[in-house]
Amino acid sequence: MILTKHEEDMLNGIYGDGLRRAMKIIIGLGKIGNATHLIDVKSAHISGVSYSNIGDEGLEFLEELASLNVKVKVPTTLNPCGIDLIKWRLMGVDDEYYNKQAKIIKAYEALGVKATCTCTPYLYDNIPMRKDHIAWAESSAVIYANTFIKAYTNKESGISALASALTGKTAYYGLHNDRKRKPEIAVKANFKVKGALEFSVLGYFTGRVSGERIPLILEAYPKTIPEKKQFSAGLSASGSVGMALFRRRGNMETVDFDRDMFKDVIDELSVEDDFSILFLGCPHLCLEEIEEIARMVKGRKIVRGKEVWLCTSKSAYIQAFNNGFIKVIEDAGLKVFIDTCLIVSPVKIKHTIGTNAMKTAHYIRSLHNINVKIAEAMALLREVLE
Amino acid sequence: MKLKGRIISEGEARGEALVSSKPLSFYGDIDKASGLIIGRDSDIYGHTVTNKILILPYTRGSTVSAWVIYALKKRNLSPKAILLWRTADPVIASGCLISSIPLIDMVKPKPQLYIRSGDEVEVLSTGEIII
Repeated sequence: MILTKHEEDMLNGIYGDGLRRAMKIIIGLGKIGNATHLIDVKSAHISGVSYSNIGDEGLEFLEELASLNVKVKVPTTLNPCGIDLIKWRLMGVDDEYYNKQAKIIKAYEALGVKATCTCTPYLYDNIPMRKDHIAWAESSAVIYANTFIKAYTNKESGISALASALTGKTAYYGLHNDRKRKPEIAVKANFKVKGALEFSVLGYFTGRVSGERIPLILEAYPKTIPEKKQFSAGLSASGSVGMALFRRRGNMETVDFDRDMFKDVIDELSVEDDFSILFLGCPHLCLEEIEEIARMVKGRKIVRGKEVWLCTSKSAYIQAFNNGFIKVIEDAGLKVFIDTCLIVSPVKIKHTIGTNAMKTAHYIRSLHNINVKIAEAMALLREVLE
Repeated sequence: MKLKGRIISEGEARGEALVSSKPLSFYGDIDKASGLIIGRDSDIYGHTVTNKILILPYTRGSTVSAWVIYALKKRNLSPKAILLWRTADPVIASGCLISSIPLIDMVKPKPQLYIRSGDEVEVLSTGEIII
């Protein structure tokens, strides 16, 4: 691998041990990808934030790194952590967990990371431009950035994204290279795909058939932000690719996606008729979705025995708050949490979950062994209102 | 006998080999509190990875695996080095790189044919492995 003088100096520890270690990670991963050189990145997004995921060892690693006095070189955001850092008591989380989680966030802040914890950094907090090379973890955000913004990023791990944030570099391989961003299998929609749930299922179906191949989607295109983020999250849950393409035609192996397949995918995971907790916000709700929910629940109440959890980013929350949506929603008895997500929280889920996201359905079943009901967000919400 | 591979995480080590013909996930297959292999499907189930030269075809698993490797290292329960005869994935690479554990991938000829568990093995900083 060819390195510039500056990169060599970082690797040799001229700028301290923190940068030396970060550089070793970038170069080690670059070797695996057969990279020829390194490139500059414009931003980073780090996963591995929840104490439930990284534990005491992750915390120890971050604190050790922060003590080396290194700072990120590019704008860097975080994935959801285990709790709402303000309303954590409302989640039923204990003090010890809060203290550990707060220390993790503090260590990231000491490294210069913007401590906003969201899986939708591309909406408000860390917006890439077309053709920007970036180093992002969180596979749904990676797919969104590559597919809908046309930025360039590989599917990084939390560790490699942090190394890129500190050095401002990543190795040039994989999806940074235009020649590697070519589809190898097509999925053709045989009906008019519309709405967040249908795009979630299309993404999930696509990931299953494409596996490690970049998919090309024919005859369907998500227009709204909720449709785009649901497609990205669905694809990230079942596939291992970092992007998809949408075009009018393509000459390659093609798999059809029809109404029956759509129903089959839902029926396979949606095994409950009822649910106790409705969880919306995977990926984090955008302002438009919060507004839609507020309109729906205005002046009404959640029925006794049911709960509704909404998860969103701090930025969407502040805008929704200023528009009066949060008050309307909380008055109706729904809970709104920021900086977190049910999946990465320590909350022990004992009851069935209602969801409009295939990603939630996938992980609630595999990680928590809990059954789900899948339907459109507004249909689920209607079921829990008096 | 000398084998050679590609250095992903540099370093030297000398110790007893632990060889498996199956891929392993550090998250789920290894107990980070003891260093024991707890994955029932593994052909080295019940063995410890501690202070071993761990030799595998390749590894599986999500990013959490990287933190398990780091946890093992911090508790002095980690392998001394990891050798793979196929390609390393970014997760094992990240884990070994943050933990300063030597990782050599694409080792040729296939070590499974020449090394048995219990053999004394030396890993050199050049990516060579001496049996």
